[in-house]
Amino acid sequence: MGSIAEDPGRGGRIPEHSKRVAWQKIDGETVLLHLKAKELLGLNEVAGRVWELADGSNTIDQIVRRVTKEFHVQDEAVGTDVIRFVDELIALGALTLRDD
Amino acid sequence: MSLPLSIGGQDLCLEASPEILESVRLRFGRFEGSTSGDGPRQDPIKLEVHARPGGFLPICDRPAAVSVRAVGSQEVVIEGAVRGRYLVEARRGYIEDAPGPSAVDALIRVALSISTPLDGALLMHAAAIPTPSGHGIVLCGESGTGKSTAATAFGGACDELVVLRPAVDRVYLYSTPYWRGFPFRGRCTSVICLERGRASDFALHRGSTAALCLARHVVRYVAIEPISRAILRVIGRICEAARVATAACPEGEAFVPFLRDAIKFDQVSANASGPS
Repeated sequence: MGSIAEDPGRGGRIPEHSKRVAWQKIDGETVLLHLKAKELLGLNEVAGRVWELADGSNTIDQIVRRVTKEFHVQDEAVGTDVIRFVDELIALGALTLRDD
Repeated sequence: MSLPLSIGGQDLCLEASPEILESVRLRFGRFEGSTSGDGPRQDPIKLEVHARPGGFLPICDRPAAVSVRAVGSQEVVIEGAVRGRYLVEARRGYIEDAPGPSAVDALIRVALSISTPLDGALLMHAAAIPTPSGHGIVLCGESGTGKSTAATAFGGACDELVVLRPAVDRVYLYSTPYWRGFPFRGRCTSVICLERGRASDFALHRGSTAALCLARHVVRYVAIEPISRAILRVIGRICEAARVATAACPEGEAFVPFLRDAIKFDQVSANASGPS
């Protein structure tokens, strides 16, 4: 699978949690566990919010807008970061993508 | 015949010949009986030990090199120096052609590593240090990080495996027989992860960092999805109810004094005089 950063139609695609990952909020922070691996992955506040929103009910564009609004940051930077983060989670097998 | 054991708040029922049970009692006898612990009441885990006539050597025992693999989500196969199976949901297991007590040891470890997360607890690579107030401190760490040294210095209840069992607003610590352990159950006030290879440091952690620290020391022989999910849930509960820290300790004679000072070991019945 190629990077979604190179996909012009990425904004309308919908990320959702893979069944291969368990996750938990611990003291307000999001922790992911790949079920076949031993290591956990801790997410910072923004990344944790992206993870919550990437639950199969929001497109990437919608996630970018929500994060921009909630964290009072510039749209362009958020878009780049969200796409990079979603790419990383897809590579880890933590997220899958489907079309709207 | 059978031998009831209580390890980590779990009841186990070992079924074997009288000769085998007698040798097992020598190793695990301090943990004989049934639990009055904090976990949900369940039927005991049933473990059968079979051996060829004359094939079980109770004294001249060598560590049993075994490998463990999951077959689906309900069955675990034990292979190598001893062969056997453990059924996850049924909470039953057996080994065949057991050559000595170490084979029984391997079966119990496998059973505990699988059953504890599903029972709301975790089996950890750690030493248990009782405090005079009746509480306990857990020292996690890989081999060589100083668990045994600390356990010797501070009167540890065991120095290899412990069980952490979260309750409503606290975490209970259970010692195990590993190694030369004696039964201890108390409220766990701190989980300290021992590290090496970096400058001396002691740091408290919360949230995902605390979870990452704990996850490295969970005993997990096989990756079975429901068990992995259960492990993460229990880690979360432990992080919210107990203090989690890392301690990078100096080596040599400075090890014990540093650890004592870092984690307030003045609460512990210390008989420390230096590292072993």
